[in-house]
Amino acid sequence: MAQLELHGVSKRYGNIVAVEDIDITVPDNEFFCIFGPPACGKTTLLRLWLGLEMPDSGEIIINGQAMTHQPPAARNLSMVFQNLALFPHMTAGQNLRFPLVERKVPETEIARRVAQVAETLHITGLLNKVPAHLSGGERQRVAIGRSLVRDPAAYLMDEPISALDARLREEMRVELSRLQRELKHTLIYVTHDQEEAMSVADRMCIMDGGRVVQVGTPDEVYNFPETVYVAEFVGSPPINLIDGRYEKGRFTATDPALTVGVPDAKNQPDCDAVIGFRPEDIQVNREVGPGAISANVYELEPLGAYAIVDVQAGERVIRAQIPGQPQFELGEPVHVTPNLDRCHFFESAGGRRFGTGAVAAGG
Amino acid sequence: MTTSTTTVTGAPELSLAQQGVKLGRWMTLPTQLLLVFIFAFPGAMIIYVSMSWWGPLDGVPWYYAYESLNWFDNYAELLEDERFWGSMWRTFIIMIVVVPVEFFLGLGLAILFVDNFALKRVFYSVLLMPMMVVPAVAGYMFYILFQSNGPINQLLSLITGYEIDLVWLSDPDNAFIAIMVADIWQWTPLMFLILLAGLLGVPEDQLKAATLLGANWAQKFWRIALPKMRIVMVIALVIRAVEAFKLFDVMYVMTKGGPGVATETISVYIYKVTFLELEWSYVSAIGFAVLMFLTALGGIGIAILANAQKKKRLADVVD
Amino acid sequence: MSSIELTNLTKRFGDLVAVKDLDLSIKDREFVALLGPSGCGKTTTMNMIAGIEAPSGGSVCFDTRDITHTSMGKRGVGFVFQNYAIFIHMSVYKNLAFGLEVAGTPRAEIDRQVADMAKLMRLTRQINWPAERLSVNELQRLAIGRSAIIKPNIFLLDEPLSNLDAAFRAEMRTELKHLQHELQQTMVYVTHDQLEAMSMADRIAVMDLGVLQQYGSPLDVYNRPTNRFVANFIGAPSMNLLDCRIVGENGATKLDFGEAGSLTPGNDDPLTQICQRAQQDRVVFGFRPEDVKLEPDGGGGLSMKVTFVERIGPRSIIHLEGPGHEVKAVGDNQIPARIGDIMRVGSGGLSHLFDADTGRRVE
Repeated sequence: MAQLELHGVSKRYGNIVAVEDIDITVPDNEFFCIFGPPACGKTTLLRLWLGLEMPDSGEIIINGQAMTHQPPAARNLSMVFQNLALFPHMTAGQNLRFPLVERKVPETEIARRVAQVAETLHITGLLNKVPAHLSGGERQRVAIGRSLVRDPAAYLMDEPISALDARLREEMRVELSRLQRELKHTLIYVTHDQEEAMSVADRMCIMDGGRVVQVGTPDEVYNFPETVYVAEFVGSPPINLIDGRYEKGRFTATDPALTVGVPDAKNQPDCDAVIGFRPEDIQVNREVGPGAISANVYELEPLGAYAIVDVQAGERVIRAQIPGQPQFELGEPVHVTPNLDRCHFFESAGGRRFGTGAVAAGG
Repeated sequence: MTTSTTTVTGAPELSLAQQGVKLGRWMTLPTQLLLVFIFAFPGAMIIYVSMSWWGPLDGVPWYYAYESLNWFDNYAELLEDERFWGSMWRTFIIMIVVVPVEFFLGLGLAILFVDNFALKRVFYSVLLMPMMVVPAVAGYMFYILFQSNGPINQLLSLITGYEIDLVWLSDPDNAFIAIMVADIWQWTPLMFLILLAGLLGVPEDQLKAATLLGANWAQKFWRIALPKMRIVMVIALVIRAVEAFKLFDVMYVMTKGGPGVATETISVYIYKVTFLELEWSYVSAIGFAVLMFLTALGGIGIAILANAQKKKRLADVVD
Repeated sequence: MSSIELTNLTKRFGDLVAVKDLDLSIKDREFVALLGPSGCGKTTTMNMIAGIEAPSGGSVCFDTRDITHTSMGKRGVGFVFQNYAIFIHMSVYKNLAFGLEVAGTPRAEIDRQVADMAKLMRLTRQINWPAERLSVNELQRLAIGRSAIIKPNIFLLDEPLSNLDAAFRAEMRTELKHLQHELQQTMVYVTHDQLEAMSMADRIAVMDLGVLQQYGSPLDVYNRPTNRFVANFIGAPSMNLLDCRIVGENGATKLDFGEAGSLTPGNDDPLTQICQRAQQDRVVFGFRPEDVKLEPDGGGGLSMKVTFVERIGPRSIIHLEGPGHEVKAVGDNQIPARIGDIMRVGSGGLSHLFDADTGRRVE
C-alpha cells in the first residue's frame, strides 16, 4: 500500500514561490503524471515528496504516515533523476546492485532482484559494461533499473526520457507503462512533453506557476479542460482560440466573424469570452458549407499520415489537422468549419471554462 | 485538514543543503585556524612592534616591546623618510614599465600560439624556460651579461656596427633598464601562459559565427576575444603588479640597490634596514605600510572582477 | 539568391568517411532539409557548404561559381548554430548589428535595419537587454535575426529547434517556414527529427552513414521510400516492417508470415504485380500504422494479439504482437481494442515491399 499525499503544501525560495497550496492524493498503484512547462514547480514537488526539500507549510503523507519532516532515508521512495546520475566508474551491474548493497541485503537476494530487473528492462547483456560504453537509451534503462531493484513504497521519476531522441522516447514510454503495470507500484512521473504524459498516465495534474490547475485522467484533461491554460497546454498542435463576447446565450466573434449559440452555459453572466476548438475538430473545404468561415491557406505542413493546414481568416491564423494528404495551394481560398459539438467556451478574465458544445445561431 | 508544522521530536529542521553547509564549516575549521595563525598572528605582531622602539639590540624578547611604546612615532618618521619614498617611487616606476611591457609581449606571444604551427611544442618549452630559472641565478646571469665588456655590449656593437661600450650596472639610469630587462625576460612567460589560457577559453563557436558574418581577424579579436578575456587580463595584471612591487632577488644580485641608492627598491631598502641597520621596529612600520599599499592595489583589481561577477549574477536573477 | 550544387562531395576524417560522393542539387529559394540519424554526415555536409570544413574531394558551387576553396568569411552565407553561438557579452542590439558593423555600414542605416529585424523577430522589447538575459526561445530568434540581417543568399541552419521545448517547437516550425517564404532565401536545414523535415522542407535529403538515401518532396519520401532505411526513418510511429516470404500457391501469390499467418492480395491489388518483380522470395512487407486495418479475428490473414493501447488525445496507438512480428496501428478512438484481444491485421492503404537482403524497394 503506498498512497502518496500532499496537503496544503507550499515552498518558497526567498521571494520566489516555488509551489503554493498543493493538494494531491495519488492512490496506490497509479501512474500519476505531473505535467507543466519548465519552472512551474514540478521538480520541487518531487523533491518535497522525496525529502530533499522541507515544505514551509502543509503535510506530506506517505502510506498513511506523516512524513513531512522525515529525512529521505526514512521515506522508502525511489527516484530517477533527470541527469541519470549513474556511477561512471561502476559497471551497469554494479550500478544496479548499489542500492541493495548499501542496505545490506543478502547476496542471494541481490543477485535475484538484479537479474529480474535486468530481464524486465532487456539489459541483461549489458551488465558488464560501464556507462561510457552504453548508448543513451541503455543508460536510461540502467538508471530506471537502479531504482527498481529496491522495493520502495513508490517510484518517482523526473523527466527520465526527455534527453532521448523521438523514436526512443516513443518506445521507452510504452516500456515504462508496461513496467508499472507489472510491478503494481505507484509511479509519479514528471514531464513537459504532453504526448508522453497523455500516453502513460492513469491520471495527471497540470501545473502553472507553482499551482495545480487541474487533476484528472488524460481524457478528462483533454476533452474537458477547466481553464484556457489547460486547453492550450494539452494537445498538439495547440487549440485555436478566438476572442469574442458572450451575451444571453450567444457567442459572437468579429475576427473572424462567427456567431453561435451556447446551450451549455447555464446561468453564465454576460462577459468577454474566448471560443476554443481543436485542430482535429475542423474541416477545411473548398466548397462553402453551413457555419463555415472564409479563409485563405497560409501554410501547409504535409506530415504523411495527416497534414496541418494553417489558414488565415482576417488577422487570425487558424490551425487545422486533416487526415491523409490533402492538396492545397498557398493562398487558395477555402472554408473552415469547426465541429460545433466539440467547441469550448472560456471566460476571458480568469480563463474558466463555462460551456462546451455550440449550436448554429439561428436567424 | 490541518496545515500544521509540528515537528516530530528529534527530526531535523534543516534541509539537506543547509546540513551540508554546516558540515562544511566544521570541516574547514582546522584550515581556518591555521590561516589565522599564519596570517593574523604575525600581522598582529608586526603592528605591535611597529609601535615601539624595540630592536634586537635591546636584549629582551619582542613581547617586551610594550616597555618602549612610541605609538605612531615610527610612522611619522616614515612619512619624512626620503629614502623610503625614493625607494617606493623607484619601485613604482619599475612596476609601471615592466608590467605593461610583459603584458603586451605576453599577449602577442599568446596570439601567435593560438593556432598551430611547426615545432610549436619546441617553442613552448623554450618560451617557458626563463620562468623556471631561480631568480637569483637569473640575476647573476644578467649581471654577467651587462658587464662593461660583456655580451650585451658586444651584441649591440654587432647590430649597430658601432663600438658600443655602455656602462650598465654602474650607471644610475642604465642600471634601471638592465633590471627591467631582466624582469621582463623572466616573467613574460607567466603573462603568456595566463593570457593564452584566456584566449583559448574564448568560445570557438562565437568566433566562427563572427567569421561567417564577415568579421576579419582584428574585428574578431577586438569585439569577441578581448571582452571575454577581461577577467583573465585583470588577474594577470594584478598578480604581476603585486609581484613586481616585491622585486628583490634579481635586483639585489645585479646591483645591490646601487650605484648608491639609484636602483634601491622598497624590498632592498627593507632588507638593508633589517639586516644592516637593525632597526626592526622601524622596519615593521615600513612593512606594514607596504602591505597596506599592496592590499589596496590588489583590492582595486578584485573590485573590478567582483563588479563583473555581480553584473552577471544580477542578470541571472532579474528574470 | 542562389542555387547550390554539390558534386561528388566527399569528406574523410582519417579512415572515417563522413560524407561519400554526395551529389545534391538545391534550387534557388528552395527549402531543403538534410535529415538523418547522428553520424549520417548531414552536419559535415552543411559545414562544407558554409566553408567551415574543406571537402576531401568534389566541389561546392553557388549558382555557377565554384566556391569550393573560398574561405568561409567570403561566401555570403548565413549560419545558425545548434547552440546559437550568440555573442553573450553583447546586447541584443549589438548582436543584430554585428554583421553590418563589421562591413562598415553607416550608423543610421544600421539603426534602421536593426529595428526592422527586431520587429520581424519580435525582439523589439528586448533590444537593449544583455544577450544573457534572453530565454532559449528568444536566443533562437536572435540567432536567426543576426544572420538574416546581412541578407545572405543562402541560409544554413544546424538543428536550430533541438534546444526548444516541445510546445514552442511547433510554433517555430510554422514561423521558420513562413520566414523563408518572406525572405525569399535558399534554406538548408539539418535535423534528425523527421517531423521537422516533413513539416518545413520543399525537399528532403535523407542520409545515412555518409550516403544519400533519397532526395524528394516530403510526400515522395513518405509514400515511395526507396529503401528500408528511409521507410523506417520517415513517419512516426514508424512504418511496420515485417519479414516474410513470397509464396506461389495455385497460381495466386501469397505473403507468408510464418506462424502469424499470411496475406493474399487480390488480383487487382498492385501488390500482386510487385511481388512478381521481386528478385528473391525473401522480402520485407511494409505498411504504415495509419494504414493498418484491424478486424475481429476471423481465422484468416494475419493474427495478432493486442498488447498495449496508448490513448493520446484524439487518437490511439494500438500495439499488437504475433509470433515473430510486432505491429503498431494508429487510429481514432473508435477502434474497440482491449489488451488481450486477438485481431486480424491487414493493410488498408499503401503497401511496400523491400528486398530482405539489399533493403531496396521492389517496384
